[in-house]
Amino acid sequence: MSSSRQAPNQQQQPAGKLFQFKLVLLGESAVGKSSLVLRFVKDQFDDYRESTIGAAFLTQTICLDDATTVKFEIWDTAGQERYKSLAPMYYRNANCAVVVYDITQSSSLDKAKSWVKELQRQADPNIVIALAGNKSDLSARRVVETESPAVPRGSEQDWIDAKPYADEAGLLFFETSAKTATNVNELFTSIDKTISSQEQQ
Amino acid sequence: MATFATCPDLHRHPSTHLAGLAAISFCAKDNVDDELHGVPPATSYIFGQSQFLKSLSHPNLCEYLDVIKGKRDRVFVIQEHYNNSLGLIRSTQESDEREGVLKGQDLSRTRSWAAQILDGLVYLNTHGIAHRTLTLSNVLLNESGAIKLSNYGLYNMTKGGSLVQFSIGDPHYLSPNTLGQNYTSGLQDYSVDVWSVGVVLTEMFLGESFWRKDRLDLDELISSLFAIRRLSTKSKSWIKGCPESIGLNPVVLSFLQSGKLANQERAGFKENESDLQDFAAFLRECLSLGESNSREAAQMRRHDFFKSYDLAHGISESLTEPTPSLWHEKPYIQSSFLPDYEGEVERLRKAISEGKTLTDDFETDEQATKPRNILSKLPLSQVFYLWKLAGGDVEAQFRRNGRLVGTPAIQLLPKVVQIAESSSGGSREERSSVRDIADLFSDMTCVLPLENLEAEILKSIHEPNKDQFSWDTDYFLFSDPDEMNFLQGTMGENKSKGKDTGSSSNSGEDGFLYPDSMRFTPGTPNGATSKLSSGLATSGALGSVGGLLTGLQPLAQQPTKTRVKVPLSIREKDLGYQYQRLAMFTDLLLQYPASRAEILHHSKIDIPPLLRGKVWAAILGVVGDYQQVYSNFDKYTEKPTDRQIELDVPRCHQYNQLMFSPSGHEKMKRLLKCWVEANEHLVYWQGLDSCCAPFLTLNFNNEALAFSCIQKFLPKYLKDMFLHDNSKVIHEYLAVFRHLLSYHDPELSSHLDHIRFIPQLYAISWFMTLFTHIFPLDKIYHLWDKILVGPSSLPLFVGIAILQQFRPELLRSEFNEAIGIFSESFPEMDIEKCIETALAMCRVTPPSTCWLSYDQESREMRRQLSSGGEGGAGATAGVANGETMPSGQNGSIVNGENPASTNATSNKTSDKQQPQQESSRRSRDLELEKRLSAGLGLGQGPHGGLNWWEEPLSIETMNSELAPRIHRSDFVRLRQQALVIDIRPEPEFRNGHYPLSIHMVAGQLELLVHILKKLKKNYLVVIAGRGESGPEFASSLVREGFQRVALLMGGIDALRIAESSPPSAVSSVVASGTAPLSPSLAATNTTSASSATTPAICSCRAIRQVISVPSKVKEEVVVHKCKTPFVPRSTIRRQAIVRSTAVSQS
Repeated sequence: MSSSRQAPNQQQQPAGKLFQFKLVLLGESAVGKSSLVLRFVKDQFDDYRESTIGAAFLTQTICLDDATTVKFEIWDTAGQERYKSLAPMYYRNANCAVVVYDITQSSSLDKAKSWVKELQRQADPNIVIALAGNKSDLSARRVVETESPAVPRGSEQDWIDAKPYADEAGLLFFETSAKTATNVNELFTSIDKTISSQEQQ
Repeated sequence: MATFATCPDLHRHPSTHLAGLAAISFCAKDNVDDELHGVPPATSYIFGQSQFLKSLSHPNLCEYLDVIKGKRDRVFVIQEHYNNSLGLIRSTQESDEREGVLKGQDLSRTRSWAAQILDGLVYLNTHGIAHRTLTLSNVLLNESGAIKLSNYGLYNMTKGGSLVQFSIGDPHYLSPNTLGQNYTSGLQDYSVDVWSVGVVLTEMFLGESFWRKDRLDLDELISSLFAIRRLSTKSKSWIKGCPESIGLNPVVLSFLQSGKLANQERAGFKENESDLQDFAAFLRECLSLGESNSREAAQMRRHDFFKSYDLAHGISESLTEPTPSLWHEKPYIQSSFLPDYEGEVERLRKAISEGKTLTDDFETDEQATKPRNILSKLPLSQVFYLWKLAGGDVEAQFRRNGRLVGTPAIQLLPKVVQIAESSSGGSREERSSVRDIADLFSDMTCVLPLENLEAEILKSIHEPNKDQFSWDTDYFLFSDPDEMNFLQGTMGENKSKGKDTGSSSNSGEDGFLYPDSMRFTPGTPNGATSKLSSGLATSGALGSVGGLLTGLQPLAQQPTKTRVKVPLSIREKDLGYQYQRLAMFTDLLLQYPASRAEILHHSKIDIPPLLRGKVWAAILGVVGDYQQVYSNFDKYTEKPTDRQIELDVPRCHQYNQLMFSPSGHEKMKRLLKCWVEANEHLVYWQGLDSCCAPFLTLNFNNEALAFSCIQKFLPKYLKDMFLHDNSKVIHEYLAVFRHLLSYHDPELSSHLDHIRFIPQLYAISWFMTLFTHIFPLDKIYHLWDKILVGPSSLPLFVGIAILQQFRPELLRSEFNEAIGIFSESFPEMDIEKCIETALAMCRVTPPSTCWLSYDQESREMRRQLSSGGEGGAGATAGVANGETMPSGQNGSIVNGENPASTNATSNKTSDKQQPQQESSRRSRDLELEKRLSAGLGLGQGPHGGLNWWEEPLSIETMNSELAPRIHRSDFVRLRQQALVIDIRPEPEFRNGHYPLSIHMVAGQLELLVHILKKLKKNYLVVIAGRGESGPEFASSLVREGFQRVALLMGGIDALRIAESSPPSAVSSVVASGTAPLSPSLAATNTTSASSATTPAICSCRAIRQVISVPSKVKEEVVVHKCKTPFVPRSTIRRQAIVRSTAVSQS
């Protein structure tokens, strides 16, 4: 990890470690990137959250275990395709990326895949990428399946599987809901753990 | 034609003279469950839908003035109001009857009423509204007895009553066709209102109730209505064979059938019988049912019955089919269940029975004893606005009158509460079965007391402490953004030279070339000069902003008594002040566009919030038939951007009630789609929605106007920001922003630069949306009030002002903390202070530091400056068409590998220069400035006259520098206040340099910082040779904390241009060795020096001699004589130190 700085947290836990991770959120417009961050950082949810323009920056510190504290520096990016040219500024030197799609929009998964591709090509080669299928509270309107259900619903083309893709591309995978807080902390903790374990290797 | 002449909110309808205001209130359905599924709350729908009603205006309709969302689901609707109504007249009739007085069967009066009611209905129908609640009490009469329909929007705004818990309309007046009719917007059955008209007129004429008195029971009544409907399907006219069992009042029935009055003789009825027959026929038609028979208001208005009344209007017909299902019966409170308001009805009855006419009665009323001259002339919307300013509160008024009925919340608690086992469907059953009576509708209106309003306005105007307020509109002109505004001043100078020169020479007398308003105190002698110059600057500016020099001078500059500035927040709440501002702006708007110059002038002080939408449009210069423009664009065809718009609109400023309402969403989508359609070379970027929101909320009932404003606004302030590829535009903008920050706050700028807190990371959303993305709309209104009347560079200064409000925090912060301040929720800040700071900074900033290569205004200016006066117009047009210079040439020039251009241009000579004789000092000074800024007719140059240094810099170059660059035209203006540092190698400096400049070796800045600081100059200008380290040196000055550091564009080359003037010319700018080119400059130097600390200038005499020497010899002489640079004496000593240190270092 070239850019993650490691500094002992001397005040409270002389033995503890403080990791700083730069995390970037990418994904199509209105899939809930900002909402995921808001849930993670402030444990809040806003139905009518303004769209992000350019990017927003937030930090959140979590304790992984007694010895390790992780500070996330989160760049929450604008989703509109047009803002894409700004993205490299944010994912440059990022340790991890959360690529978000909306389970009720199949196009958002395609967009997520293209982000993954771009990250794998352009970003730090060690970047940890997580795929998050957001809005799992709206499962009634789901079009993206986690895995193929035993009995397919509707026509075959209507749904796409995300999990097999994530496995294949080597991504962490979670279905989240920023609204109900489902899997949000799990998502970030698991990113932590993955990076920390990379670090130790 | 005046653009806003026909806007109903700018004048009062003649017939609404002496109108009152009243409110009704009801509770919307509380659809908490639906909300979870994304259905907007009912109140929000009502709020959005009812906005449209405010735009309706007809002599026979009560105006809707406002809809207010109260607590929980309560809605208050404020309307024009009159105490007299048909209901009141009817109850008087009844009491008369009891007293044995004859009923007033007056056919001509009834006919006139009928015509007016129908006129009102026709107008409503053409606007897509069915009244549906036409009852006696909803037909009001004004003082002159004209009909005023009220409550006509209730059905429409509540989606046909589906958003409220009560039924709309009184079944006694409702058409049988309405039973079970569903509301479909845009497809309404207007014919049902005609039934109500029939019932109302019958009752009024006969003085009898339409239904038998025992038919007050709802169940019976409804079965009667059904019976009528059944009858009407069988026969063409159900009236003919109407059995008594249906429950019609027999008197009514017999009149309808026969057209004769039972008591005709007794009453001494004077109408002729055929008229009466006509009337009965008319009523029968009103009351006829069935698809083929039912009539709409427009058709009825053409009835023969009205032949004697007046001409009818021609209106197209449209019939809709009623859907037969059940009438939704919902409980209803009748006014009789509520106490009548303060005995009003009794009192009126008494007055009427005492033989007074209705008008008399109102005149003798206490509210009419005082002349309501002030209010009777104002549009009602303004009356209501002022009433609120005077402390009026609709909800409080309801409370005071005991009109807010409700069940205490505790009584509504469910008695059985289900714990656990929550199912989505269970929530409704868990609610208490007790119904809150607040859910019911009360048709009682709450009259808003206007009696004291006029007195309060007058009091507020004449209050003794109001001397502080200067009503005079230019009472703080010195903070007028145009006062010393270079951007506009410079533009103005080019356009109307003779006019503005005065102000530029005046300004030189101040310590600051661009006086900062903050330094003035009221009553100082400075006031006079600044006022004079500001007047001139303003007139120049007006021309440049809109290019619309109408020849109108700003309103006569009245003498100002006081110059105390009252904070905007207080001015906006001050009743008297707002009254006067409203009156003035209303007048001006009615005369717009002829009055545009005056509107601009007054808007610089403040803009009355109530008229903001139109004032903004006027400032932006929206003219012509904007409705037509808007309707010409396709807003409905699907487009690829639709999806993004659909996603963004429901997230855009949703805290705002208008933006949150479903109609707000629809309007916003249409507006954005129209914009996409109208601007083919631009694309929809997220953020555009936010930018449009202020215009939509201010012109909610006028999308077309909002659209035209946007079309004017974006090109001025967000030029090319919405290009498909806007990265150059935005990055250049941010680079200029960074330079300006250095210019004004070097400490902050270098700190932010050090922690890599670059604008790209935090300020994109600021500038792309002009702050609409970071501030709530109420703050944006005030911010934009100033931005709109300011130069297009003002937003940059607002950005700096924002940073400065967090200066201490930022200076302490590392990157993460710094960006944390502006991330997530934007911090609270004082917008007024922010604007003040921004304006103050803008005022002291040379315009050339804000030049943007993409900004047309600065491009034009650049072009005009380098092309000189004559070539200006043509060259400007060229720039406006072509985007930039050919890029290949561009690049090479910027890199400094094209020395040819300098030569080529400098060889150009101008024959216009005549030998100058000693004339007035001013004209010579002017000549010098003209020459310096115009570059001696370079306009004829090969590529439109841009010198190499005037080409835009590359963004990389800009980002690598910390200090801005200024054009020599600005340099000329600030030269007397500036410390000019020349960092070229010493031999070159000796060879010739700008007078007043001091020489310094770039590497030795650190040693000399303290000396430079002691000089306390307002401006620092660095002159360097081409390809030298000027930018680095300027950057290091910024890092050392020097304010207002700038690098002269083109350095010495820019000044040398003038050198190539023909031999006959007075002298050269870069006088080889110092010469200040003309005695005038020398003289100016002396004067300015005497006002400064230095008493005299050493080489003055030498230079005077130089001037008199023939020009050929001149150069040598000058070189010979001026070994010491031309500097004030005090500086010379320091410079000696500079030199000696330089020597010792080397």
